[in-house]
Amino acid sequence: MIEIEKLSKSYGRERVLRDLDLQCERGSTISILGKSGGGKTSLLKIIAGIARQDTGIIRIDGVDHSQTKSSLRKAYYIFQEPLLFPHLNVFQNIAFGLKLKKTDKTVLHAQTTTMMEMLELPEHATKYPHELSGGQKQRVAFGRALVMQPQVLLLDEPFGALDTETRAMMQQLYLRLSGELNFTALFVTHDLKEALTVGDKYAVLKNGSCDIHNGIESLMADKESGLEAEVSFWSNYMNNA
Amino acid sequence: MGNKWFFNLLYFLFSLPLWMLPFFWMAADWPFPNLFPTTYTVRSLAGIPGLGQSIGLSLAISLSGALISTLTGFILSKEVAYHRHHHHFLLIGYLPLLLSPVLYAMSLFYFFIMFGLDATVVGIMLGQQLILLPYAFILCMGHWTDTFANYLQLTENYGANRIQKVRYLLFPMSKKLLFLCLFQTFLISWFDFAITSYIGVGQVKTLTVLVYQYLLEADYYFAAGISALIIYPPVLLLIFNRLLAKGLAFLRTELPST
Amino acid sequence: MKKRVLIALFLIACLGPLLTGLVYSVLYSLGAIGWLSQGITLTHWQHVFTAPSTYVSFAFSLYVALGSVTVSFILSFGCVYLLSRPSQRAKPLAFAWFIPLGIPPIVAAFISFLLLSGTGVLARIVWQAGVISEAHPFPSLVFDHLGIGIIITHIMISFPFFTLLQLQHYEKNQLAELMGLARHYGANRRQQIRDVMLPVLFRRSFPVLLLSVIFVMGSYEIPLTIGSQYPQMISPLIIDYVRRFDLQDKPIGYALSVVYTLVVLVLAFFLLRKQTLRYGK
Repeated sequence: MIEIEKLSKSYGRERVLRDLDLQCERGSTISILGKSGGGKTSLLKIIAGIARQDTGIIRIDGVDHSQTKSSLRKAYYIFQEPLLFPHLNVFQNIAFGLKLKKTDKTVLHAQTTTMMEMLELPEHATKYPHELSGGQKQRVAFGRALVMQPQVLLLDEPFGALDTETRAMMQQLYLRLSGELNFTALFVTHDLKEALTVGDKYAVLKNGSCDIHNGIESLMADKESGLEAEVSFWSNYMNNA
Repeated sequence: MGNKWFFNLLYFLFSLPLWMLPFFWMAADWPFPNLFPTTYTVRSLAGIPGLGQSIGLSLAISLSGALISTLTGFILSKEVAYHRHHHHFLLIGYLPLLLSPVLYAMSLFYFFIMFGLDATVVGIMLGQQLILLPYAFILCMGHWTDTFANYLQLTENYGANRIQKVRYLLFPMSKKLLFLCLFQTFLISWFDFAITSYIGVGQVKTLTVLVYQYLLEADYYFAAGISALIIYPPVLLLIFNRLLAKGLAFLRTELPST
Repeated sequence: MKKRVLIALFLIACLGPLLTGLVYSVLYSLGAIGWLSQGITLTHWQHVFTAPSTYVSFAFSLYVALGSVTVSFILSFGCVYLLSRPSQRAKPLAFAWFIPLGIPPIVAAFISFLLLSGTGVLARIVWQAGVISEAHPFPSLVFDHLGIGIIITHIMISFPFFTLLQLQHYEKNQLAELMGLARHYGANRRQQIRDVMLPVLFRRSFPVLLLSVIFVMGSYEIPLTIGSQYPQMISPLIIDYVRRFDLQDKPIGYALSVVYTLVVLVLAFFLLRKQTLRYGK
């Protein structure tokens, strides 16, 4: 479970987060929507511990991690670009975090192999990133995070650069993994359909704070989410067709 | 067809130094108007007084200068590149490179005398850093992109300590740049005459200083031999390593607007 | 904390010596310091601004710089045009283009001397061709008042580099495709070159060309080795003043160096400010 209380962050004079409160139950995913530059990435990076908040409290499974080092939070950030290490092959990329933790070789091998199987990657184990497709690269990036058995997964538009078909496939993969591994996740996306597909709840970030919506009706009522406009566009389109 | 001749002529001209200098080194007599020397002689490079010491000096100064500037430039550029005023710092980094090196050395020569560094190898190494360090800094600046910043954050997120960051991220992902930067700064130092002759007061006889000395003495055969010695190692390296050649050309064109 | 220390170190390394040297030169030129200092005076500065050699030297340096950079650019543009033809593009770039990157200025000057002096290789070829029958009618292209030797040597060094640079811009800016597009809209070969290739390559190369002008203006080894006594380029002239037997000439050298430094810094500031600010991340 993630609990955020009164989180604030400014860059110079620009205040991107102001007294933001957010809660995400264990094993569930919150889809985060909002305008570009609205603080979504900052929020995720602060939770991951790779950026610092000005004020505010971050609790993960009841433990205060407001000032903890990034590596101790068990909250892993997945970037929009897969950021695979070009000098490492698929196996080595997935095992990257385990190797940093100096995990026993047999355990490392077993866990990495299991993860590759879950992600349908075994036949690509010795391939290097430049030999992989966009979807495969993002699967490796997922594997690298999931093999660390995260308590929290922070996804910053992970499928933003993929084509529609691969994107849909990755969303289904995400749902399967989320069910199997039961991680808690915050999932930033600009795509409403994706937000509705992967999220159990929805958060709309505006003016540095966020509104939580438990269902589609509530999200529809929030003009900033863009859902109402989207729905009315499609219904008009269908009516006119 | 005409193009082919034109380019062949051009390539012949470009390669002129490579065969002309050794050829001239072996000439014994070359009276006007003969196109080629009339007599040849086998000269040993060992016959040039102080050559061994000059090679050693040049190598030591260039290798240490390249190492120091590359490492320092790499570390400093990383901090500067992710600073919010990075574009102003980049501008500052360019300034020392635009001045004439000899005038830069001249304006600081008093301080070299004051600290007893004039006419010393250490003084020359320090003097060359005035140029090498900003050069290495500028070369490395382009390396620190937003994507690289994300990689840095990723390794931090996965718990890498400082040594692991260097071992698993910084070194493997920067080794090509480091190698090129080392080579480039080595070349600048290896080719330097202005700073070396000014701060060294002509007493620290690196290869370029020796060439100039023989030119002044009108001993063109010796000057040709030493010149060949200066140009052959880098050119051979470039021949055997096309990547280096391409990288070198690329790095030299890596100015902010390009 | 560590960050601040490193930033401070960077600023000290880049600006410290530059400002120290500049202040020292200003003080020396004003007579405030130096072996024969007799108190602050503007005499040396007066000399700098009244002596014709100052203006001649600056003008000569600018002429050499503009001359060599312009010719190098034109030559390299021509080569890029020829190399970018479909028959040439398929071939890998000849290694010979990279050789001049491995030639230091002092050796380049020496090679020019061997090739272009009154009894050099070129004079011998001309003699063998029967154009001259003695050495002296052949115009020495080194130590000449027009700086032809210096310009040719600078061209030798920079022309291949400009060609590599422009080839890179040619690829990066997809000029083959852009020229194909122009052809599609009815442009003939000349129009494609004049209206597409030249403006794109010139604009892209402009900052490097300007920086090259600054570098050549301040060059030392080449004019020192094959330059004439008069007119002299700025760097050898200043060093000449500072090293003269008459110590009274030293402050004049420093004053000249201050003028040169300020000219370069102002030029660089306006040139680079725009460029570096565009160097966004």
